Amino acid sequence: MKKISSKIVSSISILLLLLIGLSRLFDFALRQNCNLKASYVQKAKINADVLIHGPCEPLWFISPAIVDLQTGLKSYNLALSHSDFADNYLHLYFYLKNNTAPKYLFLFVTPESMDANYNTFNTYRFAAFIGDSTTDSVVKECDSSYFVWTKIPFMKYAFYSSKINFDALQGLKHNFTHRTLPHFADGYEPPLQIKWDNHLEEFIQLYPKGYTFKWSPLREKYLRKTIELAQQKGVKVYLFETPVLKESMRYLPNRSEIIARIKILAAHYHIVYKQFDYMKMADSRTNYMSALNLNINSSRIFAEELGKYIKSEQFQNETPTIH
Amino acid sequence: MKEQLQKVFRTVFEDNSLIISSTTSAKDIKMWDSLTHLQLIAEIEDEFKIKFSFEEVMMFNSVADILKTIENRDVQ
Amino acid sequence: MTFNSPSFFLFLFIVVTVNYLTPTSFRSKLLVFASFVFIGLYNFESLLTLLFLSSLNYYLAKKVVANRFFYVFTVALNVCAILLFNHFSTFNTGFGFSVFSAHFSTDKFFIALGLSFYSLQNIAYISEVRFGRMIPETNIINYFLYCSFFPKIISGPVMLPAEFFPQVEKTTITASELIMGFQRLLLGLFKKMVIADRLVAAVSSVFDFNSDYAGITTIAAAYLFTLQMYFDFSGYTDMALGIGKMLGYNLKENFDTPLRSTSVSEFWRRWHISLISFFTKYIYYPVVYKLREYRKAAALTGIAVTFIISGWWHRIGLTFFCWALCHVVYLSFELLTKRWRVKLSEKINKRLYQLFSVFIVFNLVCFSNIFFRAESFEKAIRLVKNAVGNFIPKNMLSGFVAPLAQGGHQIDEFNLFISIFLMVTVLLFERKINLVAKSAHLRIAYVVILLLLIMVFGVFNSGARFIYMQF
Repeated sequence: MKKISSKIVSSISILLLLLIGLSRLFDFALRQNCNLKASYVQKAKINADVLIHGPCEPLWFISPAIVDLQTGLKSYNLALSHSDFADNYLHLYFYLKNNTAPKYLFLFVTPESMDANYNTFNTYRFAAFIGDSTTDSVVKECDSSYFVWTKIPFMKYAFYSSKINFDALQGLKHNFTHRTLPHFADGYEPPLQIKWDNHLEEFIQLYPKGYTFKWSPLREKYLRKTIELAQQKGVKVYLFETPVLKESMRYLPNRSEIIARIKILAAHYHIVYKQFDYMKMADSRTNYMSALNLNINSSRIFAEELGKYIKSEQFQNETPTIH
Repeated sequence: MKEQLQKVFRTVFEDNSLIISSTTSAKDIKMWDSLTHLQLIAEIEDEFKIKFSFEEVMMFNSVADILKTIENRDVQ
Repeated sequence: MTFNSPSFFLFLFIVVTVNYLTPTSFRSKLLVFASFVFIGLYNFESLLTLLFLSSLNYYLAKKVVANRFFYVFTVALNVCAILLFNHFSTFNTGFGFSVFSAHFSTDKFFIALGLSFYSLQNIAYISEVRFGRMIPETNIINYFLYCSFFPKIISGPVMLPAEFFPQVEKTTITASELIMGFQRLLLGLFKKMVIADRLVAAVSSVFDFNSDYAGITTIAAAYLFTLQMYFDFSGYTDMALGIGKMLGYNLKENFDTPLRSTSVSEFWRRWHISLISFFTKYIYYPVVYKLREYRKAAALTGIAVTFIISGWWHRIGLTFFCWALCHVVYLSFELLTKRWRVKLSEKINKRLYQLFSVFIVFNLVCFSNIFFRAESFEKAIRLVKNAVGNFIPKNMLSGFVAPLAQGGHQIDEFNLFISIFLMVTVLLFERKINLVAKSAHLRIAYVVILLLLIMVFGVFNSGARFIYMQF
């Protein structure tokens, strides 16, 4: 009996030690991975003048190189696929911890952003930063069941191992090869597809009577927090939307209502909600991969237009108003 | 009687060199499995002109079991 | 609560501890209570259905000895329960209703947890009583335990009365049982979380989507599905047997490294053993015995009837019928060519013949499993066409790796590689691993390594149900 209890104690101790050690190794490795934006912005001094932020759309459409050609400023694309505002908020928080506050933040907002069915809080992106109080409070609110389990050594990584193991290994590789730049250095990731993907047809089948957006209070909360965080640091915030394929809008009956609510929210913070739906590309699906996603050619045209807009805003801001 | 039984085994399992003893069971003969078991039983019944009950058939594990049941039947 | 959830482990810890401390004679009552709690937590309707069916079988058993009508009626009742389970699982025709403030849903009564499994046990019990092979159970608590025993309620193993009842009220639990049970449970958890669940996405990506993949991709998916099902179900069985052991019960083995079988009939002696033992005892042997004068035709009929019923037991539908038909064809072929194959094995190098046989059997089983897994008959046919059509894709990366790695990004390929590597390693060392899992000696390295692998490579957030839970 005594032998068995000592075996049990040994097993538990060895396991705990291994888990704690492995957890520390992952903490280190993930922070070394330059391809992870959360890690990269806390290591590198990017110090951009313009930050582009949001989910897949800004990530795939807006090339800083094209924007900077118009503005003469330095921009960085902080956007990440499938990210909601809480995800955006934490990435902005990490960026501002290590970098000077940019002049402008362009945050992508559409009716889809306000609806919990679209995008998500990608907890695995923040596993390595559990322990930081801001990170903890956001993770606790957005993925509470996960947060409870993080008390057990290594569990914060175990939960999302299919996303994290590879990143940790890659982080170790970056460490050994002394790599400092990500694969996509300015944060922009060109879209993989070019052709129309039939998602709109499937969407229409799923929602023959159209899709009604549902405003999520949690999304609104983190949109506000993101704006407030930026404004606290003296950043001029712009909310913006890319041109949406016009023919898809008839399947979205309460779209204008949500847009109006977004505008009210923007007005509360004295910021602009800039829509680009006047652009001709919105008329034809040949410019799109799906209802929301521009293809690579039209995204380049859009990025140029955004650059021009920023340039005009820059001119306005720097020209003193004449009374 | 064992000779007679052996003849049946040789016919059913298509092997004229087969030799059985009282301890022979399905483990010892490649051809003897659940698929061929009842075929064997039917041939034995025909040869000895008896009928085994379902319970008896399920209890047969080796040649000895079969021989014993046939002997008891003869006595009766 | 499924076996791989944290609340279950808390429940298990409490039950094992209390059971260990309880005097032997009182344990069955405790375990019945715990089982009722387990089932009730799954949903209340399942518990009510179980109480109803097991009470009915218990009381009717006393009448079946002398009365043929009651025997037929009771067996038919249990068969109907299985058919209704099948029907309501396929078609969503239920509706909700409330009694006082409790909300119920009609279909949940029929899709009761474990119903297909304990109904077979009920049929076995009634038959044993009818044919004078046992006397009716006199303690209803013991009968409730027979049906509801929580380690085996979800997906078996199917226990015959003679295998279960003698153990009740005679259980001994020492450190050996606890250790053996725990190590076995750990193996099951590992097989489910680290091997089976990691393969789900690769299988699903080929079976559930509308794309037409190349031959080798489809075949690879069929291989992976068979392996996924093996690890999922044998993992579940390991957990069931491990938990049973910790509670003092020896439940029946369901698997005996079946993928190393050299014939399909051998495969069916090594895969889902408890289910096949039931069908063999209560369907195959009676049918063949009755028709034995027809020699080989009797065996062929027996095979056909047994497998078609087995197919129906899983799900009534064309896909399961085809799955059953495949095995009828395989087994019939084996029966008719047995002599020829035995002669062949004596001529060729033994090792080579064995490896070749294992390879053939594996492919035959995987082919039949295309029907087992496919969402519909049309999809199954399409997959079969794909498997034999355009064999090698133009681009190995996008045609073979990407579909199995859900996208073909580096991270997905990495995950797939790890999954396959772990699976192959376990398959090769399975016999040795099983020895340790069933040993009464606590092996520190075994426990630490498995738990570590579960933490690093296990799937925690999918909540994938055990495959056999749907039956």
